[in-house]
Amino acid sequence: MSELRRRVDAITEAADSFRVRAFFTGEKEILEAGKFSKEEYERYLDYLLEDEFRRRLVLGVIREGNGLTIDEIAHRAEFSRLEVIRHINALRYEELAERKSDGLVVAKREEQRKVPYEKIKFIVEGGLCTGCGGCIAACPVYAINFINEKPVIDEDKCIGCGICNVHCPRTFFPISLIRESLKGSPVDVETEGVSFYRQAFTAQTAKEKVKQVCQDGGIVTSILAYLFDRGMIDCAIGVRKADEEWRTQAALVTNVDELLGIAGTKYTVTPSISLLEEVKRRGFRRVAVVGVPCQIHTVRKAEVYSSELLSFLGEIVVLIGIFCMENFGHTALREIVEGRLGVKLEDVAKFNIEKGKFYVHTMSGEERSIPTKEISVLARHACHYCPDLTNELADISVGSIGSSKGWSTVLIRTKRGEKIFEEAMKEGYLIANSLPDAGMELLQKLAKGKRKRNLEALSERAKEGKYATLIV
Amino acid sequence: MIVVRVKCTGRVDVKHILEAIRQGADGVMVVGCHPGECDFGDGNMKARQRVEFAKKVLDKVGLGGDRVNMYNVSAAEIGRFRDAIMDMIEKLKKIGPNPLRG
Repeated sequence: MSELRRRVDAITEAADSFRVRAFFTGEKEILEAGKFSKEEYERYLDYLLEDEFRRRLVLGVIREGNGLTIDEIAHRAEFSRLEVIRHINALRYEELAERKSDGLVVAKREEQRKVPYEKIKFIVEGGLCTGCGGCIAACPVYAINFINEKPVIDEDKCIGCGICNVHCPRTFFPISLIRESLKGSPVDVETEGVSFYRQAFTAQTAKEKVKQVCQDGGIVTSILAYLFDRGMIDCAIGVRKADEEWRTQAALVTNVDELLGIAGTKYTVTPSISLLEEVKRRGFRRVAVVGVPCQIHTVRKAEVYSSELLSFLGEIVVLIGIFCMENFGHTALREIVEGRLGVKLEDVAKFNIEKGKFYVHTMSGEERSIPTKEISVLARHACHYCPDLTNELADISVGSIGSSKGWSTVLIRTKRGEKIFEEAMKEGYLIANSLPDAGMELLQKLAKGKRKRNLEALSERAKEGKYATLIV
Repeated sequence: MIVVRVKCTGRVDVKHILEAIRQGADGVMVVGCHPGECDFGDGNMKARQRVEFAKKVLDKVGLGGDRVNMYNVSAAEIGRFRDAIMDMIEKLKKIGPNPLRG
């Protein structure tokens, strides 16, 4: 078959693919919603067409071969290995290709297929939704709202374009692909449990005003303060305490004063990533995102599978990841604090998880605790399918595990994270020592435990057949 | 030349246009009503949008977007119809025959 015919076949299929067709058909509604301009609409449509075109070229190679390795496909299609893996992940999700037990990739017969990018309602109903808010930021027609700690689709507005599905970290999530693309130099240490990193520190803020408001070492606040002071970001996405009862709200802060007002960890689900939409609406560009692993996953997935749309929303300067064992809905938090510990939520000054215990510090200076094992059943359902404790895909991961009181453990994972952290240190925002081995061992132990437990839960779920997160 | 009659140009899909080219047609000419005169509301506008998209697709693989064109001609405008055909022929002469044929 001639090269031209191969390309024409691929582009014909691409033009008829679900995503292109859906986005193309929805032009009127998308432009009327006003989130994306005409120019952005056209750029995204172009991006989709090009993306599907290349994906179908890969599919064409897979169809012609009778079981090929990834390297063979990359060679024949003349694409990079990472790009081929990216497309194969998506083709597997779309059920157009499969990977056999011997690792060879084959095409699947096209049967009467389900909609490949179904709206994310099934994720919510299946208890897999992490509540990150990524779908809300991505939806081109404002059809998704966050109600009762979950995204709810307004069926009257929804155009069925499937963008929420593409952005959702729980439909399929290419963790090894992202890891491979973030990693990149001999400096990286690969450690079981905590994944790759360049440097590991135990660190503390050097700013007095941060010390007064921070959770542990005040690292996140200090790094953001440094970025604001140097004019490197226009805004940062985090979480604010919304009321006396510790309900939370995603917060977009635009300067150091606002930043200091939202310091400290909150243990309730918050759709932070939805604020990327506000970044765009308010005309900001450069943004730092602070989040738990599932939220960071969302941004990373968008970087890989929907980079064009992400670029309309904002330019990500740094992703700061918080360690996370599990998270709670507000009702569960109330049950823990009021039911189990006998403290009124509005009397709580600070929460903390340390050495396997969940601590509550009251306004009157009292301290109560409960082993995390006992409250883990109250964690959100979705948390039981998350293998990531140390926020493996962030630029900088921060948490208390492994450091002593008043200090934070910091894993620098990427070059961009390293540069920012070192500069902040040099300019006197932070002090950092290398992480003691005992700290790293503890972190590894806990991270491995979470990974093992939750991967098991995930594979149990996969056996049931439908809708298990595909981690490939 | 093959004439495909449709009740409304709104019936023409990108897929139809591309399939014609794939099977070796030199060009596809979509002839519909004037804007605002669609019996069904906006069939002709949809057709125009699809033709524009098909052009983009053909350009991407180097077949030439000008192989596909939309003309608005009402049933009474014989002169305009002739001009449209001449225009189409001119454009196709410039691009040359479809390399997928033969």
